[in-house]
Amino acid sequence: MPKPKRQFAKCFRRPYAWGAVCCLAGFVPSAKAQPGIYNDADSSKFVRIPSDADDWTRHFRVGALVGFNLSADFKMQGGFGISGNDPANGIFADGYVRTDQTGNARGHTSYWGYNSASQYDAVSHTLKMTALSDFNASGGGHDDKNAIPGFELAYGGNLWYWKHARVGWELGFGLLSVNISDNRTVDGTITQSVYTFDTGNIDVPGAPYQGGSSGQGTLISATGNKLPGPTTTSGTVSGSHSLDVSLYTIRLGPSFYWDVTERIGVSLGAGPAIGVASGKYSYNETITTSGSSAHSYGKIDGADVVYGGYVNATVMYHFNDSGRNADVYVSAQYMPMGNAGFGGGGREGTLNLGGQIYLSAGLNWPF
Amino acid sequence: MKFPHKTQLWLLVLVAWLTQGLQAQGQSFGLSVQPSTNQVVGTNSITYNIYLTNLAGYFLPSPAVTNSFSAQVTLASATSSQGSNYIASGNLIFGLGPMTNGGTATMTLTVIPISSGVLTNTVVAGALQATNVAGTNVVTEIYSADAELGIRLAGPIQHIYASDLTAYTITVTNSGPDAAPDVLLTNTLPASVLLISASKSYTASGSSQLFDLGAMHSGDAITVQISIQPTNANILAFTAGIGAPGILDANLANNTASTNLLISAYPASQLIAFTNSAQTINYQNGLMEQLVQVVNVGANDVPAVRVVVSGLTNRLVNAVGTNNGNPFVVYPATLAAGAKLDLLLQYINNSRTPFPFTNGQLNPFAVTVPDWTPPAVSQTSTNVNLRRIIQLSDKRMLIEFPATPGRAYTVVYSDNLAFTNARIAPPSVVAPANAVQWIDYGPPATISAVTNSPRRFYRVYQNP
Repeated sequence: MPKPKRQFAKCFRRPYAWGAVCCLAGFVPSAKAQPGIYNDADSSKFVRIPSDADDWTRHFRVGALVGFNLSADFKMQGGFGISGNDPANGIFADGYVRTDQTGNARGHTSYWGYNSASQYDAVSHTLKMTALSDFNASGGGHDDKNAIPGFELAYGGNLWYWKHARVGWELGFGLLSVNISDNRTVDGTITQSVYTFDTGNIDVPGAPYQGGSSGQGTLISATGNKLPGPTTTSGTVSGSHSLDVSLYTIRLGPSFYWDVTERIGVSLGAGPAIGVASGKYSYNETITTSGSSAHSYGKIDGADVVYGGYVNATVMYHFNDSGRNADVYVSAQYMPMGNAGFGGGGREGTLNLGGQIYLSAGLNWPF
Repeated sequence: MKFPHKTQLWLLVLVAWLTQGLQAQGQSFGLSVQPSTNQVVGTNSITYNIYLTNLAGYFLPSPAVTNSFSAQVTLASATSSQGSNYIASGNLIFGLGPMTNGGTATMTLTVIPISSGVLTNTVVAGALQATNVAGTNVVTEIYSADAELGIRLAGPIQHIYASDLTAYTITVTNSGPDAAPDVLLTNTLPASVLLISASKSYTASGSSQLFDLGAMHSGDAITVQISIQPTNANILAFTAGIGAPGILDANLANNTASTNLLISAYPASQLIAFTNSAQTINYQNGLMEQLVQVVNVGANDVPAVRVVVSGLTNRLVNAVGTNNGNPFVVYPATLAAGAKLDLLLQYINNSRTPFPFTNGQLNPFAVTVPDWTPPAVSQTSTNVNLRRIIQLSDKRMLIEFPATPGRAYTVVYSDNLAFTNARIAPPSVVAPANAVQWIDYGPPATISAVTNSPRRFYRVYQNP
């Protein structure tokens, strides 16, 4: 029997050839039908394939992958600091009163601003500024994510054959880039300090106003009067919490292959799997009380190793062109794994991997 | 093909010169050359039609006409009614063959110049059997580009007094089809004028400034502002010129411009000025304010009043100009004989406390009424919507409008909604915040206190 497959297989021993394979995902080469490959096709039992056999005993697969049934749980619990406010330097949640270029001559400054008309009390001629220092919040939510794109690679070999069936093994690798966000608003208790600034008899510019540091423009007292406190008030925490995770999975297990017809084959596989979830938990929160708000944002990097198993089924369609073989395949895989956790300091995100279902399609090369 | 021009040219010139003397003994040839043009732009071609007549009185077996060029050219074509042509020693020579007595020959030569400048084609006709030769020089100007440069001078609108800081504008344009390379602007100042600054870099040359404007493409316009301080009352002539090497400029008349500026001395008047209030900080705008009073103690009305404030170390914010470095405010209306006028001066003082100030620092003068006519609403696309107009407790009007910090805005006021007799309230204000609170405090910003005006309307536009 001629062995054109050798040339085909050799090319995959070169590094650049593997890259070319990835680029060709989705390309369907024309090929002739796969030839009969084993010597004892009429055996009544599975026959061991010799280790030195060179007829279609191995395969390599590359394809696109879509993950389904992934979800994440987000949870906030406890107290959290707010870093943006700095009342000692005149930075408040709803404005600023800072030192202008005159050095606040005569105790007044032009370098001030405020957000809302509600901060101004025309009777007492004062402007109220609020500094938010920390908040307590409890809550969270569950968010599903479907149709997450990725890709997979697989390499396998056959150990026994019987008529049109073969039993072997397969090693698979998959990569998914998972991004799940939660935008729920939770209630919170905010600790705040309130300061008032004397505006004198000026007519305060309309809100929002952002004065400059030049010393020109409307002047107010540069010294605030801190009201008793700090006090707590109810508010909300809105914004987004998100998980940005790269999920790498590796599976290894036995496979059973059956040539249903000359062109169509079916493969089944099952076995253990291990996953590595690497990424970050990020948050961008807006803490809002009546009349003022502050931002809190950050990220927590992390990685987690998860374990599980898989079972899959694959249908292949054979092409053969002048002895060059390839299969187009579609596959479904169920890969339950443990959950991966990210976060810290009261903010937690859990990536739920217990019900992952992958659908994939691509090219398979027997060699 | 290229024509060198050095030794050969001198020889031909010598031959042509000798021809003048020989012709007196009787002409052998009648030679005329008609060029297609005496001005060429770029690489456009020049065609020479050469006509030769045998005037020797006898048959000439082999007359020739030599074309020698003063600069390199490219030969496009050469034809003749008889004979042939060839190149020798860089010259194009028509060898015409036999010519009967009185016979004529016509030659046509087309060349393309390579570089700009003056191109001379020395054409010489001769023959071994002739007693003399005939020659002529055809001169063509070769230009690198067809550009139409123009220049305008625009003087200041306001009347100028000696030692005022003022400015005029020079606008240079190229309305021709081609770009003009290396455009050079020459600005000449008259005597008794100090150059304070120019908006572009220049090289000084005596009383002139040379501005290298670089290449100007078709349609380009470049504006240069010259800030000056005339030192004496006089009529001063300001001139400027524009040029570029190697260009064909069809209209040279607009390559120079001049304007006369009348620099006046203050007219005689009897005005006195003195402070009329203490300096106080205005928390509404962050400025130190002080009232001064001007009294016309003379027998005649003055059309307008200027108060120059000398010896200041703090900036006079509402100044509309400077004279000899001292800021001044202007009341833009008549101050009758015996009348008095309150003017508010606004200063920046970083201590926000009063600073020493004497009446001797106030220098009032009579001046002509300034032209503070604003542009029409339709001419300003940056009109600003006013956020509030309120009357303050001191009866002044406060106008608040949104602004971009650092941008300048001009307030316009009028006593009617159509703004038919509107005036600018100078000076323009540079926004210190995202909103400006401008206060109409009366003179000198506006012609009168708001309380003395039955109605007052405002509009604001952002300066270009």
